Amino acid sequence: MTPSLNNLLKLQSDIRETTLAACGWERSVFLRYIKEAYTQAGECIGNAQYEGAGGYELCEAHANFMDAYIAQVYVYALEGEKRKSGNINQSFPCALVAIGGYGRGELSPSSDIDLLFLFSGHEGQISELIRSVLYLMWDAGLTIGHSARTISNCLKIAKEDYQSETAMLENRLLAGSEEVFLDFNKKFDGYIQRVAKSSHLRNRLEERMRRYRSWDPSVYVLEPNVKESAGGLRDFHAVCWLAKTFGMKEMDEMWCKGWVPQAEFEKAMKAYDFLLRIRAQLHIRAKAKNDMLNFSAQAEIAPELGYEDEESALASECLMRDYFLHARNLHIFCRDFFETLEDHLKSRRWVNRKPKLQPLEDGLALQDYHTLVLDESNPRAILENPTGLMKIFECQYRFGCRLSPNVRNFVRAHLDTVDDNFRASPDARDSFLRILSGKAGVTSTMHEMHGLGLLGCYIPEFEPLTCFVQYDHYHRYTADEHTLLTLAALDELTYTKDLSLQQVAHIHREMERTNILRLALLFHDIGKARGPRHVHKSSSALPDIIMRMGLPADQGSIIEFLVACHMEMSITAERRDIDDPVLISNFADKMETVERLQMLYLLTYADISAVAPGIWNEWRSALIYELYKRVLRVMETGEDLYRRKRTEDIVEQVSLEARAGGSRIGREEIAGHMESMPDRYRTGTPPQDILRHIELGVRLSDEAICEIDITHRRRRGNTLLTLLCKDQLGLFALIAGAFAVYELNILDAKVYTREDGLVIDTFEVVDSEGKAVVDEGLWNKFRKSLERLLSSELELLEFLGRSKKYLRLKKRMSFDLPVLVEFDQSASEDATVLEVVAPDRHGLLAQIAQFFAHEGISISRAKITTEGQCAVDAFYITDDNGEKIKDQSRLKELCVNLSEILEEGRPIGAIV
Amino acid sequence: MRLVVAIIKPFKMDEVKEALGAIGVAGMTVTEVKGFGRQKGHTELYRGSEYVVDFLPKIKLEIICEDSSVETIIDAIMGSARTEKIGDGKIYVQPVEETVRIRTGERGMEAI
Repeated sequence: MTPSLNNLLKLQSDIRETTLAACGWERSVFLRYIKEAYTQAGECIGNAQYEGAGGYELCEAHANFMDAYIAQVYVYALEGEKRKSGNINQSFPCALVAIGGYGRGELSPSSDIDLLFLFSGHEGQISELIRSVLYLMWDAGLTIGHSARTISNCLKIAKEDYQSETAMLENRLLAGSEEVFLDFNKKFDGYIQRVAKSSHLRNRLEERMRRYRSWDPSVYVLEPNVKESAGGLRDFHAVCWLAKTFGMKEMDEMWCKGWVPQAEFEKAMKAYDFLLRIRAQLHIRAKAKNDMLNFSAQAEIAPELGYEDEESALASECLMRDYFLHARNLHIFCRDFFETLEDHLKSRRWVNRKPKLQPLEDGLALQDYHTLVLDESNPRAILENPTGLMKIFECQYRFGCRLSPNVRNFVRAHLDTVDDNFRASPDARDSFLRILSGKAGVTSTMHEMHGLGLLGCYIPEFEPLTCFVQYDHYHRYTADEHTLLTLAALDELTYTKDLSLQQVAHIHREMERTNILRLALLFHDIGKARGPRHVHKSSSALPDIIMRMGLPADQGSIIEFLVACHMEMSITAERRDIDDPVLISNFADKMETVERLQMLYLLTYADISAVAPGIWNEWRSALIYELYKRVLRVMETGEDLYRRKRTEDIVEQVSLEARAGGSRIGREEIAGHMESMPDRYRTGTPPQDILRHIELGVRLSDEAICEIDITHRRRRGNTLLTLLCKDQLGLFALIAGAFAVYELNILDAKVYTREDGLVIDTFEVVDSEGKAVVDEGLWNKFRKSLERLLSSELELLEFLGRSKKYLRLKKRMSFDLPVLVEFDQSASEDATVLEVVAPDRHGLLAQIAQFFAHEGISISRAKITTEGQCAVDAFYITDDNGEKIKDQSRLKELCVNLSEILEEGRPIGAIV
Repeated sequence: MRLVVAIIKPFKMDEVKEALGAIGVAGMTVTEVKGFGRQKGHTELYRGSEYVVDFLPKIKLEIICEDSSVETIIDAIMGSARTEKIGDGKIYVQPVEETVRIRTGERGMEAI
């Protein structure tokens, strides 16, 4: 105990022992006396804080002093009333009760002092007494909150007002009639057990939600409120209230009776003590009730609490790091307690119901479909798998369930199994990557993984970011929380209905390798804790991580690229002249592939969104989108400026891919292929696809008419068909016709012709129900038909005629939809874009393709979508010289003719 | 007193701020705004779906100054914000009746 706390204790006993008679019952003398004692107490508290008194110790001492003080005021007033009435033995059925935080026996220096006057009967005299007590306190300069109620009144108010009920839950008799107090206690307790208990947990959870909403659901805000923020004092109070409701008289019972592990309880108590200490300092500094730990307060109180500037961090940064570590412990403790209680209540509600256990692999089980538990018969089974801890999280992600408190404790207790072997294990890596490749819900798993310490153990480079404070008046969260929030921003894209996010969301939906993007997001700020120039420092840490995890070279190089460039896009969009074509060209050159550009765009969005709410706004989003679009256009049209260099890079990547896959395709072959492909192929095709095309080209022998490769893409829910064959007029119409007969829908088509006349087409197709086409038999038939069509054994018209559905409407029209055919010369540099909106028919695409073939027009690219009953297609068309169709009258004529055909649903053969 | 309002391209912000600082402008208000002038918004066709880009992001600066410094400020903004391409922005000047520094209650030129 510090000397000043001793002084306070002495003041307290002085007050208790001073006979009031010593004041001669003179009101002014008494007032002067207690005023002086109060001032002295204030000084003691201030000094005790500087002497380093514990937070809880200080608050308790303060409360004890106030107890003595208030009791004495009450006794003085009571004596006065008795004298006035002339009956020294008169009894006053009134009790003075401390409630709220004061009732709990904790008072921060400027906290509210909440008093309840409990009374029964004799209202007249009692109100005189109450008035007299209050006047004394007011005259002594004390600010208090008070209420005066009968017991039945208390119960009535408790029923109506949840906050008052909570305040009265913590009560202590300060002075007055013990009888009244005990009566109240009995009745109130009965009320809590009978009425309130069932709804209490729900109410507490709702209250917590409300509080988090109005502050921030994250513990790691850089300017927290030590009382109300997540992980603040209030969280712990809620636990105390619940513990009381459920009959725990002492806090120690929590772990004694097995509600929580002792270690976690002790951590939470330490955290609580730390927060109280900060709060006391905030109160003393502001000389008022102030719980906001903002930047200026942090800078001022850090030295006062004994923090000093260190080489790599300011005193206030050290303070905040401690704050976050403690707040995190408190937050986790409270969440676990809530969940344990929830489970307990559920098991009691259905007395005879056994939880449903669904065993999973590795000694894990799913309980009641929503909680991951350990197999009770052998709780250590999971450790037989050396990377079992990672498995726990993969299961959690896969089933979207929560971890039981038991599992959490298990993970915490076995973090030492994460050794070098674990970190280098392909099993652990694959589990980790499977989690990261999800479209949504990844963040909650990563949050859990980080909260339990596994993320920092698995990727040690990430650990220094934990609770790392970034003082830049820009970031709102600590570095680790910021990083996890970038993942959340990505998750949000999957379901967002926000119009301002539609462009990013669109790209995210089409993104294949989201796990690489997520890895880059996880690593993008790891240099932050190593001092200034964090981009460079993040990058330099990467090769070790990539090597350790054993990531393939191509993925590693994308991650390195994304981390090194993670600021480029926002800086360029906001601070460079994007009207400058050289700038755009250089940017495109840096990106190398469209996939990289798109990943960087998503990463930029996620990074900015996670800085603080409102930073990714429409304004910034428009700026960055403009840059993205311009760069994309340069890449897709393949402007000549850097063509050669870019081709070399792509050849390099493809040969890397070839070596990784053990393919025999050599560098020269790849270079030859790339040279003879059109520009837009070079920029718009991922290396692994290029490799596959070359391999298929080799396989396509002289006798074979075509080579078909089919892959099912489960994530996108479609099938990718790659077709290689010799070019011929109307080829696209033949293919589209075959799709029509087999009732396959084309979502996207890319059509390329190599200089030697080899056609490389890719189609994204789905069946009539919009799912991937996995029926092998159907594909065999399709292959045969297509071969016959290509070799002219089979006439397209005759073939189409076999399909009864050909050109029938897919859905009955409820009203007439107009056909719309329009062209746009500005959308693409090297092709005219023809947009077609028409009622969706079976084989519509075949019909349009036939029309183009008939007119001698080539299709270089097609984007096919269906909106309701309408097909909305865009065709990138060129004339027989491969150029834009510049003749306006020809274009108009094309539009008119096509509209007519589409409107009548007429087979093309009829006009030939 | 005059209020000088300038709409400029976002990437020119730093240069304009420096140029204004160099001629002794001590304070300004900066807002992220969107709008269009002759540069117009435009419709984009992106892979078959249409995005309407009808307002372009710009930065708006507001500076209160003495009548006599208006021309210097205009020159400084013009000199630093010009790219000679469409969309460079505009400058407006308006009369100001009164200014008050809230903290001290100073008024007029003292409050600038």
